[in-house]
Amino acid sequence: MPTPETLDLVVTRKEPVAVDVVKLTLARRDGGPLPTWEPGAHLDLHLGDDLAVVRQYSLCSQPADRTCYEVAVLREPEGRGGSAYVVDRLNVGDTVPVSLPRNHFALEPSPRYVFVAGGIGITPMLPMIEAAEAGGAEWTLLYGGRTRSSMAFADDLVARWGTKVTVQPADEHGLLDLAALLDAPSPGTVVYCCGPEPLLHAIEAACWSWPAGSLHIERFAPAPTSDSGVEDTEFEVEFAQSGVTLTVPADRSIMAVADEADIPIVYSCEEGTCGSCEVAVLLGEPDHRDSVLSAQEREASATMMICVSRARSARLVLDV
Amino acid sequence: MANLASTTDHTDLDPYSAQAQADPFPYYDSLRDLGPTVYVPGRDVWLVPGHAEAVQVLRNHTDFVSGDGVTFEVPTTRTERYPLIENDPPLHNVIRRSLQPSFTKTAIEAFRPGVESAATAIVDRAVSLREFDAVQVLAQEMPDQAMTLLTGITPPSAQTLADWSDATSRGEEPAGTEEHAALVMESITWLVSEGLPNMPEHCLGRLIVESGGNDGNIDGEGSHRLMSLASLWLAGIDSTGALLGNAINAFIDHPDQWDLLRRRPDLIPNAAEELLRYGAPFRAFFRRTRAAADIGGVEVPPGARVAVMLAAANRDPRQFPDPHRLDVTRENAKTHLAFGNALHVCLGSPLARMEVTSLLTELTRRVERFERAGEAVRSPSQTVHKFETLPVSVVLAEGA
Ligand code: HEM
Ligand code: FES
Repeated sequence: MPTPETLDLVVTRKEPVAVDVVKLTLARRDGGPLPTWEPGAHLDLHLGDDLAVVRQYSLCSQPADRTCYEVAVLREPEGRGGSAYVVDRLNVGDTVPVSLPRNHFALEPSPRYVFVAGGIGITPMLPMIEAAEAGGAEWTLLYGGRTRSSMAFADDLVARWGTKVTVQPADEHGLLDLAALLDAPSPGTVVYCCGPEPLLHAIEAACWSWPAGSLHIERFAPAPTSDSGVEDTEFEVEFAQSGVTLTVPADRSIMAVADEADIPIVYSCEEGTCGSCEVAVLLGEPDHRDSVLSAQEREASATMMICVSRARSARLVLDV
Repeated sequence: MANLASTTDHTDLDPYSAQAQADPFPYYDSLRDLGPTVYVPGRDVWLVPGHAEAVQVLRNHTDFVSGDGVTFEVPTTRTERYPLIENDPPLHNVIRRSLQPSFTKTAIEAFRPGVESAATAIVDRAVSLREFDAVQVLAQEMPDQAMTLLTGITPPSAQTLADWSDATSRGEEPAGTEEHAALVMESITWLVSEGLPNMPEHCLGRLIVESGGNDGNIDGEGSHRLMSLASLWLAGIDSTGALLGNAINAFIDHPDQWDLLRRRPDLIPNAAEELLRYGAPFRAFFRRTRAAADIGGVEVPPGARVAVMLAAANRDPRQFPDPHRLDVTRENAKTHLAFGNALHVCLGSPLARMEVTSLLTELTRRVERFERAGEAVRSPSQTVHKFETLPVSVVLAEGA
């Protein structure tokens, strides 16, 4: 595969839509139509002076409008510079290389939707809501954030959709009560959630009794490491059967360190999907980042995928 | 789930019935509601059709071993077991570790220029023919060339190699014959007498047979090294060929998905996953138990033959909503089990993925539409879901 095509788009508008959040409007320089997309799609923006920073943002405009793409960007103080660059430096008239829209969060047809958004995770919900409404589906939106003023589009949503939308800033209402919202599986209902990692964990837990496939979640970035705000740290791993203890530095995986030391591990995908590197955990608390283990298995932590998962505790003891 | 007894007699359950053979998907659907595992007395096999249960069995390699065979039959004519796929830890891991540095995504990336130019040449030919058998012209050619690049073994012809690889799995299914066994023997004999001596100086083939793998740990005694090479060589042919044929057929049936892919080439990697889900080559791989074991709450006895039904798991609606629809944008397509899962997950998957994406990239650029040009014929293989012939004609894209 050649590298996916990018389009050089221009910033035609930049407007604040909440505290620390700006909405960017991007269009072709010649004003021509843009490639089509479906609700839930995102763009990769190539940012920074040497365009080396690639960040993903969900499209929040309407697919029917082929003249522009809109994304909303939260300035994250701890972020690695992509969001700060957009908010502080990017101006109307600047060129931004943008990937074609891609969709890992497509809206399945359904008679009933529950949308749950946390903070800037509201963005993909905007076109989804329009699509649900256009398709004649029933829907509700539960929208949480730190404070009302930090929550982009909150007032517009309430004004437009009334009681279908519940806005709950944490400083007024506390954390979203997902257990109440999702207490019993409701046939034919699908749940879409986008937001920070703790919200995604909470919703996975709340939906555990729902049929598989009912819950769709979108992480801000595919690798939960990059934009989660948590920097990876160094930790120690004791390989019990091999009788070796090694330090896993912040920028390397357990797998890489073990492989180098000839610990007999097996791996294949190196991205937490194939399950080949699973090992039993004897002691310590893993930080699971794979997509193999179920929510219950993560909770139990009897095993972990060592290609991507790390440690919450300073030390892990593994049965290899 | 009602009327269990009246709706399912044993012939309905038989995975090798003519009906299940010809059109397996309705059969898979009918199995899934019967419980986490279904015993078929006539075949003495425990079927595992669901995605969650299949993963559970594959991940539990202690209770469900590979060392007693991963095929339906384990023919007595075969004295050698395949060193990787038919072994359990610790020996399996020793061999796998010795090979896996050659199969990481980074290592396989080195073959990209070769695989891409092979894809271009294959599509050049197809486009110039306009009407052809997609099995011969597309599906068999790609793995033939890719495996030569990878291993250093140049086969007598793509057709011969495809027949050898086909016989490897056919020999171990209920309908397997001595002819299949003879073809497998022929391939090994050819490999020793002509394949190995003609390999280039530096290649994976020599690394395995001469150096015992990346760390030298593949035992030099007996035919361990030879069989390690032979099994991975033959594993990479029929599998990928089947997938590519099934893929072309799927796009004939779903022209909207082909159009979408042509407009959105960035979807090709995900389309490859969806094609693996939808057109999984292997219907099932097997495990055996040595003690009583649990599958989704059902106890299976010691000595059970367990069919992990990969192609059925890939159509499980609990994992894949609307499972019989090809959807190249499907979010969780990658959780398919076409490559298996866990300890024995396909070693060659990075190469297989590269073959599919390279061929699709070239085809989406140049072919606007595939149309049927005759009757497609399914292979009689009971193991691999694939076409024997798939006559197609192509409508060329502008400027192709
Ligand atoms: C689309 C193409 C392919 C499919 C669908 C496929 C499928 C599979 C499956 C399902 C398994 C697991 C068997 C089990 O669990 O018992 C497997 C294992 C294996 N595959 Fe593939 N395969 C493909 C291509 C290849 C290629 C291209 C190669 C070699 C370059 C290869 C080499 C192997 C090997 C060596 C194993 C054994 C791994 C082990 O036991 O640790 N395969 N394959
Ligand atoms: S190597 Fe695939 S899950 Fe870790």
